[in-house]
Amino acid sequence: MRWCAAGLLCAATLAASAATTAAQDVRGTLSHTGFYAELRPLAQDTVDRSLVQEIDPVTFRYQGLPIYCQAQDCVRYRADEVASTVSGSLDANLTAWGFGVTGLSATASLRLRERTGGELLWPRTDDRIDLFLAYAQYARSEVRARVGRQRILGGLGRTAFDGASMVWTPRPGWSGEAYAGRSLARALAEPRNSALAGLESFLPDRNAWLFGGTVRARPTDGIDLTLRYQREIWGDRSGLLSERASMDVRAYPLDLFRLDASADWDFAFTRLGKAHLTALVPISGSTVMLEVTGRRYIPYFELWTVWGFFSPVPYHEAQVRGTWSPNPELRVWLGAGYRDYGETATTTVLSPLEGTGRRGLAGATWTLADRLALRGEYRLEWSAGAFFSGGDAAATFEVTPDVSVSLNGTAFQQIQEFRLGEGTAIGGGLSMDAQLPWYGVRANGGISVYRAGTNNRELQPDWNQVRGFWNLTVPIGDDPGLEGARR
Amino acid sequence: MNPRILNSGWGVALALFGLILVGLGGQRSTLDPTPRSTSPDVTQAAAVPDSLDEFTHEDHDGLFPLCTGCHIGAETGSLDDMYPAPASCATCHDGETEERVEWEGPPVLQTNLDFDHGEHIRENADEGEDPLLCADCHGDPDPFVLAEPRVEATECLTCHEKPADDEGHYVEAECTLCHVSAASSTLGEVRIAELPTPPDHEADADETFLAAVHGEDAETRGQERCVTCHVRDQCADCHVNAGRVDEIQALPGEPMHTTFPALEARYPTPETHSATRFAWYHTGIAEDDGSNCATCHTSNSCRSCHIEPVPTPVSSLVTRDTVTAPGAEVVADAPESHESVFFMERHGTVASTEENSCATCHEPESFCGSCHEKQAEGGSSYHTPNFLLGHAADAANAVTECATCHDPVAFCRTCHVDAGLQSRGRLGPGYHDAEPLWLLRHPQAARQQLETCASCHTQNDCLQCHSQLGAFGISPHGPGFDARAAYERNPVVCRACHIGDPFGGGGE
Repeated sequence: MRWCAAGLLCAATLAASAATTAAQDVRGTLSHTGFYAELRPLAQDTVDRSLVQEIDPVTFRYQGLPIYCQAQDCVRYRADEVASTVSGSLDANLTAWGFGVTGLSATASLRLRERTGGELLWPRTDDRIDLFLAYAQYARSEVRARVGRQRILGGLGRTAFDGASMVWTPRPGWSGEAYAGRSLARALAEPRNSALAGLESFLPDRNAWLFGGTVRARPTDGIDLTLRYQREIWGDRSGLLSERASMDVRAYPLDLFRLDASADWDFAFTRLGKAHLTALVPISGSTVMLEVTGRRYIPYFELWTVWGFFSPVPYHEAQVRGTWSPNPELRVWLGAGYRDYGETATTTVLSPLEGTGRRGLAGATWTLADRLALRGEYRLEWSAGAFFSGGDAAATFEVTPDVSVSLNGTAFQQIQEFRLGEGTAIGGGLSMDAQLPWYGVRANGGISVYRAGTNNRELQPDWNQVRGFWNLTVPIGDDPGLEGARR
Repeated sequence: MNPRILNSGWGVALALFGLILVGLGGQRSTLDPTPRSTSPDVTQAAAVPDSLDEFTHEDHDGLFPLCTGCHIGAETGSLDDMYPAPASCATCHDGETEERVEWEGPPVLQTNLDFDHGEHIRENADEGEDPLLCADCHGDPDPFVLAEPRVEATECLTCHEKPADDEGHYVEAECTLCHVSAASSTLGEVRIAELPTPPDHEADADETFLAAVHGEDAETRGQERCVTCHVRDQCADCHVNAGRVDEIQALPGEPMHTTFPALEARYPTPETHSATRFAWYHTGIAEDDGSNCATCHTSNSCRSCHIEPVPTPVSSLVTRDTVTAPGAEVVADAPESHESVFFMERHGTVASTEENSCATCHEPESFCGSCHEKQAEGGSSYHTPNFLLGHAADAANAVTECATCHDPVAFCRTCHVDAGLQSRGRLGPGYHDAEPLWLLRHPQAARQQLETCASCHTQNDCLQCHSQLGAFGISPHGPGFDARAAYERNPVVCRACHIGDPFGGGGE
């Protein structure tokens, strides 16, 4: 919290000095987002043993569904009453410059949250303040330095920290970056020991430190290469938190096709992490774009959890996808993938679970008369414990150049996490996006209604739910140099 | 003015010859000249006077047997003697013999010709050829009445060994052989605006001349050709960097009191710009040789896309407000990499390798944050509107790595707990009721989709069995697990399950 306060103070000081210095300016956005969501939670319930059918000494059924019984206690999950939440957030993203030193700027990204109604505790709404960014930057020609709360997005995902970073760009395509500071929780803008306090038992109550560096290179025209190394240790040096490296490559071999590739290496577990290699091949000009991908996925866990020690296995996947764009108005795509999970080396009881998976999709967009755009997509995901088959369709009508209205619908069927029954849902919604004539304010919002149910659990009530969201975004300041040409 | 009095047929011929050469067909430039300004045409008043049309050689039939009787300058090369002096007209037109006329000498002719009659005659004689007679060029059915006073340019080119067709005259001839530059000519603004358009300037569909020819032409033949009709100020109507180009600066400037027509700025798209990867490597081109870019683009073009960091070459370009040319307009648009429907899935690789490239159009802090930090608040365009309802399969199959943006504990588990999906810490089939003997069959699923397990279960749930102190002391470690290495890296986590020496008990 002290770091947050320091960051805020730093940004506020710079902003205040910006307000008093000639030629200063502030640019950014203020945005409010609110949403309403309904959920039908599951609740554990006890059932009198006399009402339970005993199939064998360890198998019991209640109303035709499996139930767990121990002695006279039988427990099941049943659908609870529908719960809802109304929550909102206010985001401020601001960059100020003009402090009398050319190249000096200050950036802050702050989110305030509030749960204003309902009984559901939506994720993160219990955390009322998030300071995502608060740093001062000095950027001149070849050097960019930042001090404060910042984040780095790259081959190792999102890394946030309170500290300092410096980028040196001696020439286009070549740069070196070094950064260090107090590490923040993954995907959160707080130190782990405060963000996850109470949620996990094995989380040490101490800070972690992060060190890293990146080298970007363009060894030849047509190849871009990025190497990143990052190490996190506990503040008391009691252990390693993570140590990883990544490589990202983009290349245009022979100018015939494009190659995107990335891979990361986990030093902590001495294994290859995620990787992918994608070749994008244009056919007949660019009317058809063929994408062939080889992919490896394995979850990454920090060393403070035991999950990584449970030896998760990767899956390797081959995907072939294609996009056909005969004209700018029509675009059609098709794709299919097959993946194979690694050997789990576990004991098989009864029969093994499925060790492969498939996925497929087909979709299209079609723009009619410049004002009506249609979009539809069907997706299939198929693997052990997770099946999804469904599609979305949407029609967007541009009422005026500043106002558009969309209708969307969905229908799908899914099973999840080895739970009996097929979830089905059908729904639709209406949304609107408008550029208001005042102060560049953009407003959008929408409402959706679903009818969801679970087959094979007839006695459970269906879940008919309503969801909605709204957003107002106000730009602050002008974007220098854009001259209104940017879309 | 007395209509009968003026100069001889030579004068008429000379004037008309000039008119023909510079005004053939009266075509307007395809560059669509529009007045650079509305300043008065100061030489318009000195346009060909009526008296030129009124004077006829036929009326003076027999009086002047030789052309040079009046136009001796044609032989001597003296412009002062090209026309008879007013006093010589008065010899007859004295008010008694003939009606008195008022004539004060020939008008100032609007011409851009650089032609010397005397020089032609002398050179002809020097080369030992037959004496050049007036009628050789001007026609000869009647030696006194000039049948063909107009001398076409093609007539010149029969001797000057250039192609005699119009295109050859306009395209291949060295203009300065016969013409002075427009800037140093006596042509008025109207006449300048009506200068004929050479065929190779004609706008064609692909604008070949403008895009591919005129630059090289101007470099190599600028002083011999372009200056015949143009001044450097007109280059600046299109070239935003005209003030910095030596070849342009070497051209004559717009003379005082004469405004040359403004040229319509057109910026045909060079072939290089249509290449698939142009957006990707254009910065390198600009770095290596930005002079080509500087012809059409001001720094405003670059700033239409580049926000931060602005590439170095941009600073070498002029800004739009300092030049008269509008410059080629650049509208920021999605690069070809974004055209794939599946771009979002691998955009991380693009962002990692070309962070600066992303920053060209996207302000990283707010743009990336709109998804990476949006997390649960809605309004993000990353997921489809109905994603949440059917996200389970995507998460379990790791279509993308959810943890990049969502913390599995603080985000996923919090919501799942709210939805009643949390473990109660007891062993039983509970939620996973689709598979018989799930407890015994879960290891394979756990190793295949461990993130999914962790989105509902706490570590303690698993350690009830998978711990040295757990119910069954079942090792969770798979084959090849390097326990010693793990212990050296982080002994604390080992002690979550192991008591004392981790290598002596529990899982190993």
